[in-house]
Amino acid sequence: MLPLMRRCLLLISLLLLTFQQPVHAVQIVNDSVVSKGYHLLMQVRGHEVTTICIMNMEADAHIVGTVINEFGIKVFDFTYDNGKAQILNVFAPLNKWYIKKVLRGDFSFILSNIDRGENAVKKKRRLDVMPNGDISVRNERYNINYLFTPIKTENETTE
Amino acid sequence: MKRLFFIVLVVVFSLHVSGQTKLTAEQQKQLVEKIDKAASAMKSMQCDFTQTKSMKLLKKEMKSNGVMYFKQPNKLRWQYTSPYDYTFIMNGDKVRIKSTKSTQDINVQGNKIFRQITNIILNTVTGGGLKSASDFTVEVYKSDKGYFAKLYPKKKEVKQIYNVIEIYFNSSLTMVSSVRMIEKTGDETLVNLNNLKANVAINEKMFAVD
Repeated sequence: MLPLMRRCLLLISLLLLTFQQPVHAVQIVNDSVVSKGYHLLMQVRGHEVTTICIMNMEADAHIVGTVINEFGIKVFDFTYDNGKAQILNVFAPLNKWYIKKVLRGDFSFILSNIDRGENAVKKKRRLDVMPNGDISVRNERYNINYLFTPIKTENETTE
Repeated sequence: MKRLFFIVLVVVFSLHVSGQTKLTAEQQKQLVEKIDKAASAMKSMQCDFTQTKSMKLLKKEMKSNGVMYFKQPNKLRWQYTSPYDYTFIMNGDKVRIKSTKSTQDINVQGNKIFRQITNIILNTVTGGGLKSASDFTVEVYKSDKGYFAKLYPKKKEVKQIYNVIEIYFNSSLTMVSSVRMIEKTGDETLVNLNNLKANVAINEKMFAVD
């Protein structure tokens, strides 16, 4: 009975998720993983970097993701568990402890709020859900902006 | 004797499994010259491409499509049309990057890592990179599907990103048919070039960066 109920609840939450987010941005990989893709525009002290952010969100709130540039070169990978993000496999020129520290803090905040569909503020960080579905995040301390714009993931396949 | 037999067995078996034979130094030299000659003769080129990015951590692939235009000596338009719009235009030392949210102009000379990456793109799409001995250690192989080259980066900036770049050629060795880039993290990017047209007229506007 319990597994059936858990499965029903999971199905309902996944359905709610698909209705809350723009449909084209979400891809249900299987009954326990939802995949999302975003254009990610990062602005750091006047410099802009456009990237693609792909993440798999599991039912237990575990998230695994990657940030790549449009040519496919990896910028970094990330995981998220129990409110904390880990930054992995960072693009060599950016692989500095202080960069990873800021990214870790920012992505812990982003990933704990990205799926809630509402604005959030914590210390010097702010997340705003825009009317068009974009998600804007600002780290005021280091003057870094992130803009997540949902992209179509219909061409993606999973092994 | 038993040991020698074992080594021979392993070598024969590995050749059989991989279906590829490494060319001798002399064969490689001749082939690289042939490819280089074809690359030099190609004044312009246009094609469609499909890019498949395999992401190891996500156990997932992402496919994107686009069009490419190239004109000697260093004009390139690499445009993704699906699932996202993103255009990379290179005209000499100038690069323009256009996405849905921003347009950036970059001077390649002022950015070492960017210069390396743009060089890789240019050299791999034409096949001209096989002669850059200072940039890569090149090995050429013959497989059932034709010839391909493995480029092992020598420069620190490129070495930090890629383990190896593989360039596959068409049967007449006049054009690159696909490029496979294997990153240090195990991720791979495969770019297949389709509907290739060489020496066609391309409007200069395609490479405008001003």
